[in-house]
Amino acid sequence: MKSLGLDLGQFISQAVNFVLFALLLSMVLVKPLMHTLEERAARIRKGLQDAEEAERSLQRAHDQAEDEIAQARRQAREIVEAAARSAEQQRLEIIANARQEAYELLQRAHEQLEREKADLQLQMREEMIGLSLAIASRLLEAEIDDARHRELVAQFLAEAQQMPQER
Amino acid sequence: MERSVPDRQPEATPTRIVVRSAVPLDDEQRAAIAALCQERAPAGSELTYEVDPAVLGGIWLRIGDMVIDGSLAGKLEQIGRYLREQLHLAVRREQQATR
Repeated sequence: MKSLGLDLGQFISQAVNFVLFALLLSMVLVKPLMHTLEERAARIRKGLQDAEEAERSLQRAHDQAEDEIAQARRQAREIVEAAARSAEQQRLEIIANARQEAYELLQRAHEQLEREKADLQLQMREEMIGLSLAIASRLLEAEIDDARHRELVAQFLAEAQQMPQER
Repeated sequence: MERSVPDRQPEATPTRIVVRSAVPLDDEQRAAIAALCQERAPAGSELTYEVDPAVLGGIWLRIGDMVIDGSLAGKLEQIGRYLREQLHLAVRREQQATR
């Protein structure tokens, strides 16, 4: 030791001082520093956990929003499809009603035409009867002579005599 | 010969008798008709003779409300009524057949 120029006593004293200083330093500075560092690390961990939690919440919110958007789209699509089905149904009903009305109108017109045709035929036949009787009347008027008149009067008297009296 | 009789009983009081023919009747015919009316009309009824070419032939007679139609015009009218009835029946049958 002496060859190195070191005094053992001084060395020990300095070593003890160093150890004491180290212990003191450890007690006064390192422990609070370590405590502070641990607290910071804990805050950082907590911050990271909070950030992860926030990210998860954000993801959940995002997923929920996606679900809601998808559901809204599905509902909108269903509403549109229902409206389209309803419109198609109404269109078919309108067409069917229009066809039915047209058919009934045509049927009524046909029946009316048939009735008018039948009435006209009846009227024509009645007129033919009237005309035939008028012709017969004219022919009889021209054909009946005095002798035939006498015959007819005699026939009337004979038939009238046969009728029961109602006095 | 067609004869139409009113619902009510013939009056016992004198009534008006109308004899219608297409040509004027001679005395013999008038006498026969007067005799016929005497049997059917109340005593004192007034008898009138009318000439109407529309009768065509025969006699159309009215005693009060009773009419005895023995004229050709009446017969033609009966034929017309019969033909019209038959026509309406035929049309009805035709309509029922088409339904």
